Amino acid sequence: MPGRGPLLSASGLEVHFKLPGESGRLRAVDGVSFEIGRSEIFGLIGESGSGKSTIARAIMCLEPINGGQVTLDGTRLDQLRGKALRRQRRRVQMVFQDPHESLDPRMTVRQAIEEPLRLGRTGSRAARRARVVDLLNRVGLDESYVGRMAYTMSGGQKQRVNIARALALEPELLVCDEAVSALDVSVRAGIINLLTSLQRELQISVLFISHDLGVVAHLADRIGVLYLGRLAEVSETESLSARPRHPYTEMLLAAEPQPRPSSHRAARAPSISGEAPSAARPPSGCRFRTRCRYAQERCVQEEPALRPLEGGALVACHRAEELELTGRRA
Amino acid sequence: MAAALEVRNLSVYFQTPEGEVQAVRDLSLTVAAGEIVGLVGESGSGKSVTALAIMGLLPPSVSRTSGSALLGDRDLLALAPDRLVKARGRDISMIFQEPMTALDPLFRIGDQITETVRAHHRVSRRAAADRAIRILTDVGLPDPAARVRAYPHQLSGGMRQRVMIAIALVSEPAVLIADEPTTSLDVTVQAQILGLLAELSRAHGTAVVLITHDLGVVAETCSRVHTMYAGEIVEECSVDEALLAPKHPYTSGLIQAIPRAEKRRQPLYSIPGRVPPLTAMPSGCRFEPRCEHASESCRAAQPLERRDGRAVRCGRHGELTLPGAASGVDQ
Amino acid sequence: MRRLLLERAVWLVPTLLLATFGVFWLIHLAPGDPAITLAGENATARQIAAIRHELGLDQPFLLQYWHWLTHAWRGNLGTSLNTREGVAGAIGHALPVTLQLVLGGLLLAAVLGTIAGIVSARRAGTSTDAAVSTLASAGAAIPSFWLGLVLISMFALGTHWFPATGSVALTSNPGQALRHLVLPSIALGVSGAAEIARQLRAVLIDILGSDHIRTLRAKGLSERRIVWLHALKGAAVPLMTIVGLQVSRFLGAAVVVEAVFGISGIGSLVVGAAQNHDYPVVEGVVVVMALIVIVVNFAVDVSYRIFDPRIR
Repeated sequence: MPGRGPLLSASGLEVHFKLPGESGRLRAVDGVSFEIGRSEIFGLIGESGSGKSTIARAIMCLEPINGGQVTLDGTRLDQLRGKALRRQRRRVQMVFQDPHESLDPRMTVRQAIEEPLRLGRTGSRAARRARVVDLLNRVGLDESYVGRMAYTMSGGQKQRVNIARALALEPELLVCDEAVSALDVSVRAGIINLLTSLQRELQISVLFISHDLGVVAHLADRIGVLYLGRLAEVSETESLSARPRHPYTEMLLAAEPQPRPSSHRAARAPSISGEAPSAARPPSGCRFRTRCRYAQERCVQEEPALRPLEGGALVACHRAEELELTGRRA
Repeated sequence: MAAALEVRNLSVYFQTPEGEVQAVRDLSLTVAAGEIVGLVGESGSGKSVTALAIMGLLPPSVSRTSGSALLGDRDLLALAPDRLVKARGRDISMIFQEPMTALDPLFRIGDQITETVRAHHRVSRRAAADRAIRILTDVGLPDPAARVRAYPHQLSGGMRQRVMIAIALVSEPAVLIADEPTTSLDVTVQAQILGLLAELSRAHGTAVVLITHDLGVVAETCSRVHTMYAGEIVEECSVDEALLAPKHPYTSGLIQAIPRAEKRRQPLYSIPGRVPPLTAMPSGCRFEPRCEHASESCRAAQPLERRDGRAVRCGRHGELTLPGAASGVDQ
Repeated sequence: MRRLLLERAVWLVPTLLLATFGVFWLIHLAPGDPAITLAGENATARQIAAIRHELGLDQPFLLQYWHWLTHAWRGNLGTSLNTREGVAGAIGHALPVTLQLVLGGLLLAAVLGTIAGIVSARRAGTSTDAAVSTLASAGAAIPSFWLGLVLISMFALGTHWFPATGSVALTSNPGQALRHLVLPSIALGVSGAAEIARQLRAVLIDILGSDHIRTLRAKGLSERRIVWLHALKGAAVPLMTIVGLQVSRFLGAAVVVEAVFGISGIGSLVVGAAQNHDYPVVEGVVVVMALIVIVVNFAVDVSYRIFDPRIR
């Protein structure tokens, strides 16, 4: 029975890793809270070391969490074990970055898509096979693909098979971790179109994780911006691009290469500086302060909490109200 | 302006178990001093092979090149092996996509720069070491005097790419080939590295060939762009011309495939089909099987037609008006 | 480095205990009785029993081992049951002879193997590579005793270039010592050279195809510098591993080679002792061998840290 609240909510999520040879712990995800609504596409964006893939793995219960909770439709996933966990877990499915690595090259397409159905003991053999064909059609591949071996297919075709396999158990939430990042531009466009239309038809929720702001902004209703294991900002897509509220979002927008003619493109802001420090030793106070051109004494002392602003955005910046930040260059 | 590098009719062939295949066909490309020229295309288009062929870095046992690559009055493709080794790193340099693996993990970065200096110039160890610190300062590596003693694994990806650029530019070569130099970097680091390349090119008059799959990178950095498809250049023009009014359907398709903020959730153009394998290239226009504007005449081989400083390999370009990056945007 | 040394030292104790106990047990199980041998042909049962008592052979097996262990702990390896000579002294005489041989074999294996490995890796896929690979397979397959016999008949009995048997200490007469060492070193070292060549070839082909070697070519370094400095340093860690393994292999193979060339080293000492149930000698040799292997492994570990800055 679907409830009324958000489909998935993570609150105060913490995932730590022990560092080999060092006494400290890497807080890869350090107190992250967000919600994904029903049939919403929620985008997570961040650079390497931001913890975005770890969040995906934690939601999939592939990574033990050190704090906080993950709730799916009112059920605490992090407290479930064994059969109960398996039953809930099939409601969330994942598509990974590398289409080549995530398919067994010696499996046929039919075997790959049928596998979750067989493990889930769903229907008769004939019914399962019909379902495989139906799923293939949904992802834009025809029936002739059922006997194909994975290694004979292109990256785009494999990613379609991966999506079909993820959809086999009719999940309510699809987690896409850099699912289009390894693809060529023209192939990527096809997969993005596919995800858009699937979401519309099936009304499923999607957690779309990527380092590419352009792709996330194309798909997502709302976007969370991660920096060193913490959320810097969560906003509606349009307002995030037009009026970012966190200096890091502003920097990301400025850094994004714009495929536009010079007449339609503002010069790149010269303020992009520095690299993210190691997540194992985040700076005191605000984690972004070492690269922030607006940083003040308070930002060194005090870690800003993620707080709501007027207009609905959530932002973790002491100076959010007073700053006038620049949106996407255009 | 005089051309720093002039590639004429470059073809690259590989010996495979199925016989010889042609990976690059009849490619011509010119870069002037201080200019950054883009070479854009998807995987399998032959852009990296082109770069390695110009550098003479393809394994001679399985590859063969024809044509010429003129660096001043010398043809790199015809140079004796020992002369070519001397030219590499001094007159023409190259940087690569993966800064994580492109540096020797067992040597200090200072030594990796000084050995480059000493391979090309008769200078003392001392002078070479000073030169290393100076070039590391130029490429914006923080604290260069201490960092020369660092090993590659102690640096971030962005830092390593700066070191790669330092190695490539330490002898002030006339030409730099940058093969996807920012593809594996974070977007904020990418912006800095692209800015650095532009700045160094301007300051030293280095001619840069920037190879990338990302038209955004081209738009931010280059003045002219060559679009490659299936081993051929299909279009050559200024970046603005390509983005405003592309004349080849493939260039237009690439532009339409990029997500744009103004067209949120709207279907993107996706070029149907895939690049034909080298062993089964169409005899006519190589893009014809995937082209929605293809007609009977496209079955014939298409020459690269030059007019008004632009070049297009499409027989129908005169009759087509193709969408660019500004269409659908308020002008 | 100190931590590594400590770690190794900690391992030393169980290794030595296990090795010495195992050997003690095996000797105990083997048929025969040193007391009978010592007592001579016409000894009475009473005389034999007296000798057994004197040597402590009438005590329970575990007690015998305990006695040996407590003495060895205090640095006393005991005396030979057969010759009544001190074990430490006997090993002291035999060990330098064997070490000389093992070092000779190792030097030959390392130099020959490295050159062959580099040559075939640089010309991978050519007829040169095929020839070297064939030679290496042959070298690995030839038993060292047979190779020793062939070498003796060709270069000692045939041409008289080298002496057929015996050995001379390097310290007493270096020239003669080296002449004596040549043939046995070849007999011992060839299989090691083949092994090193084979493995180094594979490692180098991998390295020469890697991204950072492409960078070195792009920056205009000579192929010689690329191969002999950069690629070889990259191959150093696996190379040292193989060389280290050869040391323990050579220590074992030396027994056979010493027999063929009539060299009285550790090999002949331990073979004689084992046949006569002379457990103090065998145990002494085992302890020394184990120490050598552990020291070599330690040296190999240290070399990793020297060659590769990423290993901490």
